[in-house]
Amino acid sequence: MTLSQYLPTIGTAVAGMVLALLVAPLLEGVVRKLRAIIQSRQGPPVTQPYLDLLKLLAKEDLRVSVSPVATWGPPLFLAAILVAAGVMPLGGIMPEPAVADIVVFIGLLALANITLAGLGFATGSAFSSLGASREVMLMLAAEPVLFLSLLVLALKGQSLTFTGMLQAPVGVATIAAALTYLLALQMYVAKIPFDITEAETELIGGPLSELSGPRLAMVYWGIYAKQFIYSSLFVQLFVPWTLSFIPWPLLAVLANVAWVFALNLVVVGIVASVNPRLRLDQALRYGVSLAAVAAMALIYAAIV
Amino acid sequence: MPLAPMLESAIKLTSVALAGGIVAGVALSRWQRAAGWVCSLALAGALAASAWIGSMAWETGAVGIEFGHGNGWPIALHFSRLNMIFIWLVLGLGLAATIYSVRYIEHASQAPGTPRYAALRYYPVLMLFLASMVAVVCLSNLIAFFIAWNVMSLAGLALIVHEYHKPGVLRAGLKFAAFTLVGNAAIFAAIMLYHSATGSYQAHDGALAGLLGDGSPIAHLVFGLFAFGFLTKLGIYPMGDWLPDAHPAAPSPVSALLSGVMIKLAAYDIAHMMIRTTDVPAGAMMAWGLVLAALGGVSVLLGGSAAAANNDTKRLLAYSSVAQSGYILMCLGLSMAFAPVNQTLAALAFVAGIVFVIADAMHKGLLFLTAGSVLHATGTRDLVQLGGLGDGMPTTTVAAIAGALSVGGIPLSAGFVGKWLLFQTLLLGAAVTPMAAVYLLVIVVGSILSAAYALKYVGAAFLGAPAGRIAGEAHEVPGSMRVPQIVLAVGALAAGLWPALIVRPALQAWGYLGAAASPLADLRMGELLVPLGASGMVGGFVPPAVLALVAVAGLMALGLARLAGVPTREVPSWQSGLALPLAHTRLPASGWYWPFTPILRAAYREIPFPWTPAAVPVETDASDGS
Repeated sequence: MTLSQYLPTIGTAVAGMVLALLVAPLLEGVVRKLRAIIQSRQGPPVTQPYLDLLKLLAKEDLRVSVSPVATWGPPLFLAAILVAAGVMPLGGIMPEPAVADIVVFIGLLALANITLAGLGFATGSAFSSLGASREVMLMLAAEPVLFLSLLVLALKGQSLTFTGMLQAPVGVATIAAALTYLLALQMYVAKIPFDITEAETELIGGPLSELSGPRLAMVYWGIYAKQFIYSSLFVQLFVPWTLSFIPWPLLAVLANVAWVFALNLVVVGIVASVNPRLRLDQALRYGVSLAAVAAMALIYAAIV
Repeated sequence: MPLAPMLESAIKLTSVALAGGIVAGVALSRWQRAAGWVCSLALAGALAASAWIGSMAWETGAVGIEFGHGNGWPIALHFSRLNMIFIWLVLGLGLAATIYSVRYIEHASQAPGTPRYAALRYYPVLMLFLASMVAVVCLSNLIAFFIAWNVMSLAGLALIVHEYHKPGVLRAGLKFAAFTLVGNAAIFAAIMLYHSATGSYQAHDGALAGLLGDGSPIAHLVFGLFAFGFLTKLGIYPMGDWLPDAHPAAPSPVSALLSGVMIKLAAYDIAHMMIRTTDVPAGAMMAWGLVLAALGGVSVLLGGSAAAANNDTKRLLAYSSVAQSGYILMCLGLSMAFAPVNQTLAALAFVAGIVFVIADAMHKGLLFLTAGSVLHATGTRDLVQLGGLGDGMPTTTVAAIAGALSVGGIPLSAGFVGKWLLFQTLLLGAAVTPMAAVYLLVIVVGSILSAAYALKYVGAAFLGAPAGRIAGEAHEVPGSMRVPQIVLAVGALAAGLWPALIVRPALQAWGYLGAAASPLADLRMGELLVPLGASGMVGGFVPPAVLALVAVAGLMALGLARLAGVPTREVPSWQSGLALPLAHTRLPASGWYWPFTPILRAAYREIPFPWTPAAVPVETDASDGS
């Protein structure tokens, strides 16, 4: 293989990254609006997150630490998430030939989590550090569920690539995996009741508390994009048949985006509106129970 | 054959360089710096000469030679692609650690309370330690191997107790001695039984696996005793419990060598003697392989948990070595299990194991050196007292971040390549044995634990706010200590960006052990593709392309910020409106990962060791309060 063969993949990936960057704030805006309606408030317009980001980008950058981690952390956080968005399929379009499989995909998202935690520790502030410590613990709760449910598909499809995972035949194990993924979605996107890292009311934003201006905008943007990625991954991997019959790729991408919005409104938005924040140990217990189910599904998939 | 005289001169050159190092260490012992530099020079010479041996071994797969036929005690040496990888690791990391030692040992021997002659014996013993490690991998006679193995253990012991005047060091040395004695006794018994079963002291490739072919209980006993001895050296829980005590006790460059290469020699012996593709009973190999892999899995989980809960820089890294040894053993065990039934899969597992060995030698060697730099600059190993060293020690900090990314298994680092290959192996392995699904579960949890302790090491020591005066006044270490760190950091990242650098030698080493089709597609563009399984492609990873994407995305992110072009201002951090110094309000390392710290800590139970009370300082815990 020569590197030029990977140019189409890089092209698709860049398109996917731009899409995630552009759509993610709207997703956040729509979910915010839904929460407002449920809580009998009028709420901000759905375009509010764009305005927030633009405003933050123009604000003065106040820094408590001049260490390279503080400088390069936010762009790295956003970049890792965007690359994850770029290498995953979108609207049934596979980035072929693949430059990354599911292990790399999860590794990139882990890089984002670790960067956020590192940013928190870098400030030296107790609020940030506590948030960072919690971010790592939440990773310990959420990542096994994510990884194991995706591995069920990989095992059934005999491949860790996105293309291969789609070949997984539907069965008891894959349905169990889909359910655990869906039940853990809130944990992946770290929304209420799993907003334990930021926990505005107790940790005043956790790792975000000492960020401001453009660097805060980058981190927010990354968090919104993560929401898009995890929802879109569910659509792509667990219910791909809802998109595969659409003949035009552009329409399939649109349908994919519509799916993501629906999923966010129904699952993320409603759960976030009617629940209080969980304690860290409660979240971990929830994660471990789901991971146990996913692990059983994985072992079942390996035996049967 | 024209090869023999050339090989002979290459071997003589290497031996002379190594022996010269020992002699120079003794002769120059009163001039510490000179001794260090001359020893480094000798090691560089040995490395160059061994490259010559390696070029011959690489061409044919393996070369052997016998010295001293006349006197009745012939010394047979063999050099294969596999053991050249280990010899280069020993000499390469040895060179880095010796250069690092020059200023480190000088500084350490000036500390008050240091015995007057402590520094004198350092370099000769260090050179003996390195030379014996080279001997361990290239001696093919088991008796000669056993002698070299014991010299290595004794030199290791002498280096571990080098600073015996410090509290806890002698106890750690005693524990190492006791565990090593038991492990070596098992190896000795195994060698005797092996001789009685085969009538030979020669250990060719896959000898122990071949022995299982006759199905006798003695064969299984020999296999088990060897495995016990090697696992003791490898640091696998529970027989390798000497490791978390010995590594912090030793001077830092020695810790780097103990962890980076000495324990890896056990992995060499397992790979060399226990993996065989033909003439072995598939059932027995499967059972042994899966048991060893399971023991590796236990170490991955326990070592990772203990590391994430620890607050001592070097002890944290030592527990991380337990976890990394677990990964190595899991890969080699899987290779052992799959070898008779599916050679391609066995090759993949073997490559993953060797990649872990090389990656861990680089990043663990590096991290122990950075821990040494912290000790050099601040005089403490306590993460609770450290913090904010990044401002005073920028080079060491960047090197530590590179090492932590690799040990944490983050994409585009060497450590990730090993983990990625292990995932591929296990996914394919599930078709052979459902146990693979359990191991998948183990490494998913293990990966998160490794990211957690890697972050803790870097975060608590180098990031954040200085805890007090000691950490606040830290200075960068001298150039001769910085250079080895930079070289190892570059190596760990380069191997992650272009995995062919370490994957290709490992693959070629397998090519000589077993003649299977390569499990990986060609590595020309630095890509890793596994064209196996029912789907035709198990996994693919193209690091240069992923790096290009990260660069594009990073430019996008920076572009957004640059468009605005806002001014920056430095401000104090927000302390709920109070004007408190950060040192008073910061979260100390002991409060990290609360409330799970006690659970993680309790997971690894130290093997009770009599005679002396525990020297481990009592760790204080702070509560998150959440």
